[in-house]
Amino acid sequence: MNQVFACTDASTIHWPSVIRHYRHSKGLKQAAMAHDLGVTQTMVSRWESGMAIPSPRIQDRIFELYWQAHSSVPRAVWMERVGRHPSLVAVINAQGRVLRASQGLQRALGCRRHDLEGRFVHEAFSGDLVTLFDTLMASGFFEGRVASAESMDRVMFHGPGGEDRGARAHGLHRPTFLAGPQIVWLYSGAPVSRSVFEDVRTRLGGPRVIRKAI
Amino acid sequence: MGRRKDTHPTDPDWRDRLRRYRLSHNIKQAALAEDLGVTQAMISRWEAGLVDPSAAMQARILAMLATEPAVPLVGWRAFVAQQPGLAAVIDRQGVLETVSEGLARLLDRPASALEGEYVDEVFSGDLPQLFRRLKFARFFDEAVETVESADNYCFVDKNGHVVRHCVQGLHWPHRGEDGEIRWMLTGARIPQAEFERVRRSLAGQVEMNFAE
Repeated sequence: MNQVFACTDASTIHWPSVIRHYRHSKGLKQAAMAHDLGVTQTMVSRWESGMAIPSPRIQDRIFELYWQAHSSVPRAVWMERVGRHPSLVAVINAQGRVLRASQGLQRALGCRRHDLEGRFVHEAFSGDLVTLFDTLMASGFFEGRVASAESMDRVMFHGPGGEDRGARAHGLHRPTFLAGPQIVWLYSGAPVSRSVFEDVRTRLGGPRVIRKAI
Repeated sequence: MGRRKDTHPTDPDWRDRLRRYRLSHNIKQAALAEDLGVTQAMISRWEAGLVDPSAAMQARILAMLATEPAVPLVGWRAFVAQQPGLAAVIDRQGVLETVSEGLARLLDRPASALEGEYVDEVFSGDLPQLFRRLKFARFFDEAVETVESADNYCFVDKNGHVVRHCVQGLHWPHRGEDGEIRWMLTGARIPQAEFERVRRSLAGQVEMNFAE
């Protein structure tokens, strides 16, 4: 089943998007970013136009800048926090594997941590969440081409014992920049009532909105 | 200043958007005043809704709001504001700086009406209590790494009734761009029985993990 994803090179990072988006989000000029990274402005310009790819050392440095823009703790502490989160939170990689599932998500789905972690979205879920993953993937989410996404999903979970569990959830999706460098999907959501479900779907004009990076 | 050929339709939310822009970009009124070439007092009066900016200034403000470059990716504060779950950024004075969509939904009030209020103005019961405990534990000096809690969120709804929700919370200090520590509040509503269980496992309302 999962070979379909294994053969697409989803984890290739699109550096022009990543660099340009970081720079714009911070309101930096190419020269200022070049200064921060200890390179020339010409080099930043070449990365952004796709004429050159940053060296591995610079790639790590750029991901570190992204990290610092969001979080004041190391990645390991953050990952631990995701696990303890009382609401619906998950970290999912480009292969669709659930790397971490929060306490709240386990509670909502009536399962334990290892009933979720290590499993693939396509196998553990069906319905909107699978479509969401496919849409994010097709939009270049794991390549760094998406700034954020919002969705209203009917989540259908297939428990390890064959039992199914459904929930209506409002989700916010953000790329997260882990060491590697790899981009993973940070899912954060909350269960909602039927009326909120309808209201938000109306506001979104459908089940999901994907906001591309610059 | 180039005047638009037709004035923008009056958008009742635009003052809130100005404020949200300021908070989400962590800009003080004075800095925004400088950017727009007006006095800080003027910004304050706009935000309070006492006066409206001139048409030319409105156009300028709208342009500023429209040109913000895909902020949701990097802006940690914008990420909090958009959270479907319960989340807030609270400063060391106890002011709700940013309120998530989910928290606004629970309180049934727009986030913009809550932002700028003190925790103990909006809530009674456990949350003001939690704030005092965090202060006492030097949370705002980064003495605490993570806090778990089980809190009754008590507040007065639009009809004047006191409502109460059982919430499991996870909290941590977050250092903003200005170097000040904020309280990052997150939580989720849980059923009463689960709430009792969490309280027993925490041995009370709060459990703190101190930074070494």
